[in-house]
Amino acid sequence: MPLANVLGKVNIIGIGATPQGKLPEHSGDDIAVWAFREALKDSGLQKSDIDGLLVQNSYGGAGQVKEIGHRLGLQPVVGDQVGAHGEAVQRAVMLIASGMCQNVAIVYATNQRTNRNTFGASVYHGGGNFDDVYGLSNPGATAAFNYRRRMKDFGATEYQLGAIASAQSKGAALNPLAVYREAFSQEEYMDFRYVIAPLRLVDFSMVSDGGFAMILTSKERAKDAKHPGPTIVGMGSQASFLELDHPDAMYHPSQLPNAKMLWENTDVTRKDIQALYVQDAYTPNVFSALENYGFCEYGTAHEWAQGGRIELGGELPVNIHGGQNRMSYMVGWHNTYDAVTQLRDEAQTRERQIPNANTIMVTVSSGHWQSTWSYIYRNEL
Amino acid sequence: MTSEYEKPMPRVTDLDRPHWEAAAKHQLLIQSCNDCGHMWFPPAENCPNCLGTNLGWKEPKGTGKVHSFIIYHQGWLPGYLKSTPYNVAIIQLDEGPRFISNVVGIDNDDIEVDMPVQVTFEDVAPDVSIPRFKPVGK
Repeated sequence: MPLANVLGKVNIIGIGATPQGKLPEHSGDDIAVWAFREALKDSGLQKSDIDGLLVQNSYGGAGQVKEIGHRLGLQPVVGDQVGAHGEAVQRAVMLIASGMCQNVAIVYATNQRTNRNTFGASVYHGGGNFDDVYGLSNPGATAAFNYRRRMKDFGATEYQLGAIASAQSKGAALNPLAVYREAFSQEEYMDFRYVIAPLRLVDFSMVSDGGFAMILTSKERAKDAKHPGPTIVGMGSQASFLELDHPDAMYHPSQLPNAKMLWENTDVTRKDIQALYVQDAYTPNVFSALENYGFCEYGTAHEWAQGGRIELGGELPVNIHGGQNRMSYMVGWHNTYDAVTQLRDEAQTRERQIPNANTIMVTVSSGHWQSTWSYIYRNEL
Repeated sequence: MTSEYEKPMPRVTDLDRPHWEAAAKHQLLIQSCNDCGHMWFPPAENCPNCLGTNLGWKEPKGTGKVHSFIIYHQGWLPGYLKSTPYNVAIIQLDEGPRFISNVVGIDNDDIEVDMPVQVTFEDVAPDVSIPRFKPVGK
């Protein structure tokens, strides 16, 4: 198998989170150090054990690996900038499986709520001048285009889209880390104002401050760790640069080849997945992922997800922490954090714990025209 | 001529100047490759198909379909803040390239996916016209 050298070889042995929401007293880099400190403490390792540091930068100039590495007082074998959570995990796995590094810390933090980032910028590469002229702004536009097309192609309705935000609001209501904790029904969803129709306010990621960090090591070393943690037993990857030029740009085309790689190289099947986390900066991303990863037939996710199927206790709980619209803006990092928490049977309250959690899937992608990573985590130790 | 056009104006660069100069003459020009014939948008330094640099411009028929469209009820761009609700559409030109634009000459509520459209030009300043799309036959 192409990935035989890396799958089943690496565990996540430490996770760290800061509070989410508003942290006006802290710079983005303060929050990164905070998250790292929490993850290190959780792992039981010493700072000097960390020989790999991967940092995702954030808007406003925060999260430069040189700055974070300096503040952490580290001199690791590898210290690199990454552009996405999925890339951080992938690099960490490669570094550890190859033996180049032993213990890799991955970090992301931001204070863009405090910095008042509004996401008004250009939507796609090279289009800036043309975007502005026509009023195209906010990356949520790509998801709105997607859902409008889905409404035409497959008869999807705005009410059906509300199943995602409503499900995530119920999850967030149980999650003490979530920023917005009021649960709402699908009927109540219809009362939220449009932002970019057909998407409403609660279909959009919030903008919040916060940080997450994780520490990965080899499965061999994890046996002696304070928390052995889950093992990475599935990986998929697919870059995406064609954006609007891809014939299937409306349906997250990077996920299909990613799913093929994922499922062809793991002994896990879809039925084994007890919970799914989808990077959901905009809620339609969830429908695309359900179809492209084969949890339901192409063109049916908006029907399949109805009736509580994706809620806690349903057939396939999805984003039970609340997602980016209810838990926090954390570009996928909160997904892995919550997945590991669940797999350690350490959900903040018992009512939000997946019973006998053993196998959980996480996909990372910031949107329909973007690159995609996917991971399956399973308890093996 | 619109007397006070407040929306963003093209910030013309060497790369896209032929497009905007043609638009001012009510002509839609799309970049194309003289070697392989590929057409694309927005303008680029090389052909994304064959990687050639022998580039030119072609005039498509100016007809296509609304591949998808969205309605902004909130604005971010100065100049569009007062225009909500307004539409932005992906226009699938008959020749292949996709083009971000606006649909004009029709209420937002009446726009439909796959609706046939044709280019039209809005004169917004002396020597500046913006290609937009209207339903065919309107």
